Amino acid sequence: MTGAAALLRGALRLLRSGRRRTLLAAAGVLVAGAMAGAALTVSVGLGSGFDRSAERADLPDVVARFADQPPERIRARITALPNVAAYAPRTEIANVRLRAGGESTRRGSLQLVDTTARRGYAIVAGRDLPRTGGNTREALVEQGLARTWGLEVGDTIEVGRAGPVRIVGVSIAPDNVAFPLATAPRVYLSGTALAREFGGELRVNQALVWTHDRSRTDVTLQQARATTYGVGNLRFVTRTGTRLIIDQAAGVVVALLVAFSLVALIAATTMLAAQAATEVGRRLAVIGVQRALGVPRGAVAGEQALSAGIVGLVAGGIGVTLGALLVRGPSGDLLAALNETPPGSALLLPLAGLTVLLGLIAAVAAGWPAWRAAGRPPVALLRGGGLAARAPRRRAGGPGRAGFLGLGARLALARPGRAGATVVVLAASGGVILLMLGLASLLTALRDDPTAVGTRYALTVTAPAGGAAAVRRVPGVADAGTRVETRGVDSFALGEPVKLTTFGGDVGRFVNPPLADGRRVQGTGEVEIGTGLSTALGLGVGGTLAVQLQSGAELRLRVVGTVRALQDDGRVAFARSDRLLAADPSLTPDLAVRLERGADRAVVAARLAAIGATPTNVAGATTSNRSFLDTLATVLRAVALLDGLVCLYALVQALALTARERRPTLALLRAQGAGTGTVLRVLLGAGLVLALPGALAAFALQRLVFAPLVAQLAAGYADLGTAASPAAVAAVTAGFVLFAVVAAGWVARRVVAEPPVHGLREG
Amino acid sequence: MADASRPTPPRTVRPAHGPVGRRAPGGRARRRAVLVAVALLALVAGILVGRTTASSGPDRADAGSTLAVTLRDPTGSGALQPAPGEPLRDRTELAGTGAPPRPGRTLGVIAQLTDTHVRDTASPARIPFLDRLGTPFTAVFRPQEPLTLQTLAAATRTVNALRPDLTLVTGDLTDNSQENELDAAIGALRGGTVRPFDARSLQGADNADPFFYRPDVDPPRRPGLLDRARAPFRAPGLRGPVAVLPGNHDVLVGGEVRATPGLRATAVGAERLVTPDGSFARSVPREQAAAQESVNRLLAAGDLPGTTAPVRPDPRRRLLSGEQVVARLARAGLAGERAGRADAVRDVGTGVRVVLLDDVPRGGSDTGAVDAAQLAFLDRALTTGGDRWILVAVHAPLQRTPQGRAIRDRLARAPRVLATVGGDTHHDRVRPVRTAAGGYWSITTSALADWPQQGRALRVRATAGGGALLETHKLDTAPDGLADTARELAYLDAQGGRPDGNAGTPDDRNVRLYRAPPR
Amino acid sequence: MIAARGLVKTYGSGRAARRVLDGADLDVARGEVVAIVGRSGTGKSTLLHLVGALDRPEAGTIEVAGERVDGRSERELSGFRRRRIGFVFQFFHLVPELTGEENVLLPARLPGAPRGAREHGRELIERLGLGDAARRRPHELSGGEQQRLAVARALVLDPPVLLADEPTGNLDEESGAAVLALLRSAATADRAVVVVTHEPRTSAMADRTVTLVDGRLQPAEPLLFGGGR
Repeated sequence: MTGAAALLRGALRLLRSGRRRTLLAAAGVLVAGAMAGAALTVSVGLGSGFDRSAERADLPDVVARFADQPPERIRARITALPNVAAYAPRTEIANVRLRAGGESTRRGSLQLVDTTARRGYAIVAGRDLPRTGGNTREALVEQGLARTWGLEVGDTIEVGRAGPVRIVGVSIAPDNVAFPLATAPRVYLSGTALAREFGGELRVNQALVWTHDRSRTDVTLQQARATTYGVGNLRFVTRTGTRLIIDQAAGVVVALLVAFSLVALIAATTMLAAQAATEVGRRLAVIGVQRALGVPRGAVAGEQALSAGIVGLVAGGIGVTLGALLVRGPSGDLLAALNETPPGSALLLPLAGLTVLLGLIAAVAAGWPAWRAAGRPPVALLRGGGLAARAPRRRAGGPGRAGFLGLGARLALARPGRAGATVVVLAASGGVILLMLGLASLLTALRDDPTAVGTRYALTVTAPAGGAAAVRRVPGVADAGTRVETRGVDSFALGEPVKLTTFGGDVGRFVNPPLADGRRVQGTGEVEIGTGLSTALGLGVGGTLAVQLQSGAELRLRVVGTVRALQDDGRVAFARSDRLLAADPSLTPDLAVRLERGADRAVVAARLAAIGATPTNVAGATTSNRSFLDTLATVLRAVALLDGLVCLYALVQALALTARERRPTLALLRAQGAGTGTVLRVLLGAGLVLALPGALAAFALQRLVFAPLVAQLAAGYADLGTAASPAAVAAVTAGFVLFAVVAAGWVARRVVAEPPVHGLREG
Repeated sequence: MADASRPTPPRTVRPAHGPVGRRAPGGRARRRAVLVAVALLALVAGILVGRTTASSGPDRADAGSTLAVTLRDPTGSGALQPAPGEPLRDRTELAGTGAPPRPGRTLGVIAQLTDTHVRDTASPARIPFLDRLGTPFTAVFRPQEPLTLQTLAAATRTVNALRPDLTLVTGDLTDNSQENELDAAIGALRGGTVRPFDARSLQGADNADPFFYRPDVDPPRRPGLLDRARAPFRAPGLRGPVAVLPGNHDVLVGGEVRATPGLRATAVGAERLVTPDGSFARSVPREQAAAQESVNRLLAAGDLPGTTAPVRPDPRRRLLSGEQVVARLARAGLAGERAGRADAVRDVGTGVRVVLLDDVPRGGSDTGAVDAAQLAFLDRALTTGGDRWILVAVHAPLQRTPQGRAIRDRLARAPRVLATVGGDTHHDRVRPVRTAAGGYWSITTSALADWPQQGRALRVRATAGGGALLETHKLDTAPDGLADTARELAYLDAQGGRPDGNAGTPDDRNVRLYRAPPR
Repeated sequence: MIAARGLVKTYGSGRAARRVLDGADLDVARGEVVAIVGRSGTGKSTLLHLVGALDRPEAGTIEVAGERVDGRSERELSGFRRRRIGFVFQFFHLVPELTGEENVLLPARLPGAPRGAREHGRELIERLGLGDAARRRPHELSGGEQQRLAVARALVLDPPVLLADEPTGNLDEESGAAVLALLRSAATADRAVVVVTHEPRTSAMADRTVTLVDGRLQPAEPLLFGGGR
């Protein structure tokens, strides 16, 4: 124990001795920790948000919607199904007018709840409708509606013909996104009380089903489909299906944010490691003295490791907490928009773990080089000013050209290890910033540009004289091909709508949504269906899709793959046109037009109209709800801000270290008569030789590693490229240059503040 | 040290040790005893250990008896698992006053299988499309229907393990009165190679209709099940004596319709109705009887209005008449024959008589009134039994059929009728029928076609005082890959025996049925 | 050329405070070579540093070539150093990454350096026979060559004052002699040279020798033996 205590004392002594340096190092750790903490908060919050909220709200495993039925018939059918643990009937009335506090909407969704059964929502304020039924004057409102309209428990809301009712509670149910992201806000009344009051029996159009074994829900569904004769307009949504819907509504953004946060976390830990190693570089003289005095290698390295670890833990802990608090607001708003709850205390453990991780990384990153340094002869270390004045290895081509900038560059490069570490830090942070900028532009793209979600054509046109060939000749058009799109229903009276989009020739030319199962359509008679359709009809790869067309004919196609298509709730199917046209020759094809990269849709549309091809825009996929996107942008910006600080800090530290090690050189220059400006030029040269390669590496890293990684993690939802635009790259490069200037200026001031003689005293 | 010079007379010295070395006298014997004791101990220990492991959890090695092992779904998730057996419960409604008497010697053991509904699923003479019209039509399709023959074969294995004196098959052996169905079922009962039917037209992956369970595509996924189901296999056949009664499905198309020329032509024809015309669906009445009428008319006309699919015409799908069915069964040694009906009397030992009554209407003009000749047969059977206890086997429970009334009257007067045994309802149900002559038990057994896919064992025992005791318990099908899959699918079927409560209550399954001595 | 009065400089703080210069005066005329001798730690280098504007006195005035040094801002001082002072250090202080020539020409690149400084520098290199050394890096050169490069560097901008702090401290006999000769020759009509040394040869070649006693300068005899280190 005395050994450990001695180690601890030594470590604390180290920290106290260079107090200013310790604080500086701690500042760096704090910033990295903040970034990591923010990233972790976002990841944990968004990544597990659905599951957490589904558990809390007791979300049913299957929700079936159908045309109104007498409740007994539904109860009999449901309880005959295998694997059913509980069942709750519900009546939903759509397009109900809601009015409260100056706001109103015609699209309210009124849910009449059977209060004797399980609810499938969680109460976040006030209380629930009582089990006994309560009275008809009490209501619950969904949290999205309460937030947007500023309603509270106790307020009154007018619900359609039921008139004014009192809000007794606020609920969330993660089976759909919140108002206003979802256009129909939900209000709950007691169906039991209503039935009692009006002495009738409520017809049921929703069944909430909980299964005993969630992994066998599909078996339950299969039986449900097989026994639904006589029940019209039937649709099923399972928990996984719900998750799909949420993802579609909130867009791929949620997954991207989580993926981005993970990347940021990796970058933060990398930076921390590089920084801790650099700190050891500063302390080589101390290590040399200790070794000269005979302190064992392990103790030396242990002290360094422990001191770095303490800084990592304490500063890291504070940073992590700060970062988590910083993103808590926007992240919470985002979760509320998805009808999900914030992780709350569930974050404590991961954040604590992260802090410990930061401490460990710092300790190891300091301990390992310290161990290596302690293995070298003390004399080499005591010469000070760095890891021995190694002779510069390469012949730099004359300072004549670049002058003092070049000199500064060479000074920085004289320590290739540290230069490399700084470039790595800049590259990682810069890559993250570029990624974030790419994501931001992606958000707008998702809103407006259909090609972001697997639909490769941006326009459809009626065929002009000259056909597809004439359209292809129009500048800005990359490809055009025939398309036949129609709506049908499934052939077996389940009432499932199917939007069938077919193309003459290769389907992949025009649609490319990410594959969930199976493969893409290759030949005739094959179809790829959206996951929404697959869930609704219980169709899997190898099954047969039978669509009843409006002409009355039936079309049968073999399912070869399931795709995540975001349009129409995924109730889409893509195939070749030949069979469709054979089944219904009355359908008229139009042309799908794929634009060249960078082409302006409006401009090309005008050109097409000019040749007689009337264009129609194809819509994008996600919500265009402005506030949602703003919230997302805020989260991105918060993390980016922290990231920028890290870059600045890395540069400042690199230059400060350079200035300190090359104090004699700088002092000499000043002795020769170099003023502040010259010193600044030297340091700027040192900074630029780090910043510019850092920017380049950041670009490469983002393009080659981060963007594909993020796209891969979010690939289940859309086919995305998150390559940063040239403008973003230029902005980041300019930013790095600016940081180099600021860092050089700051360090130069400190250098010039002391008389040159101090630097000259050293060897 | 004896003096070497003096010859010492040989002394008979009794050595301290045995003749082969340092052993005490009788040591060898003792060693042997020890070895034997050790061996015995090991044997006993082995048995005990084996017993413990066996009784520590139910295992399916006890071929099918639900007294030892039952199959239950404890978590409600739809997956069946072995569970402890169900012991016999006493039912003393007909036992008279006082404590139930002690059971005596066994007079006979009889096994009962019923309602196997062996079906040729691709036959044009079938009407599965009606399912989706909703009420009043109930589902005809069963997800386990490709496996009817495998289930039957597995059931025969359990029956063979029981070693009954007689095995009864109380009707609905086939599903659609087709020749190929009957031949396959007879093959399964007699033993030999069985060629099951191909179910791909209804349950293959290219059937887009989600009403049908397609094992390649629908959960629970069983890829390749249809190929395995139609692979020929070797059925062991029933070893002991067998007596079969036809049911309505054996003699009428769909159990309802008498075969008309049009229908006969359809059965061996080249087309199958897949989706009925919209007009038919709209015009069919919703009231039960009228709906059945209109469907019967449709089938009888041999008309197929709507979308059809081609099938390979198979002359072996020939629809058989009642006489033809009984004749075939009799030829196979599985039934008696009396005037075109499978009436028969089978005595088991000296204590039991089984009377088989074929009271199933043949359709058309034959509304099923039991004719005088049959009643005379019944009277003779009831009165010439002597001291035997009588079991009467019928297809449908007598309380439910118009023709049953006359039979019930006869049974009410017969003092030694112990029980009626039947099927048709696909439900297990055991009820006492109180009569002036002492009463009898009405036993209905659930179908092999549906959950719980069980047969029934019946043991007749004498009791002190001249009464009788009928111990009955259910028999699960023997462990077999396809038969187990069939049971799994039957359990999940939301239109099948589970939600319908086919398995009845515990008082309908493994019970001890007491009957007081005749007055 | 150099006129310093009443210079005061203290090192350390609290009880360890030491006044190394306590009212020191120094006068150096044009063309003069003055050697400051004495035991190490007595503040000789400090005095030099103050004259060369490398450090600030706590009190006193310094005038070099007609310019006041004390009390001026850093910006003014850097210009002063460039125009008026050439400094030679004990440890050479050549930039390891640059060649000999690049090192010598370093001051010529400073903003405000006069035109022709580079030619002058190259000429100096030739004159001092450092052509070969100029192509190499400092770590490839002997101490003597390095120091001579340093002297050339100090003279590139033709300063009126050349200050040398223990220039031969790290050199052997022969190199040291060469450097000293160089310094001697640097004391032209327009230039004063002040050398801090503890070596007899240096003081021998000087015009005048002074020493620091109790923080003040006093005339001294040229050293006969090496002064105590």
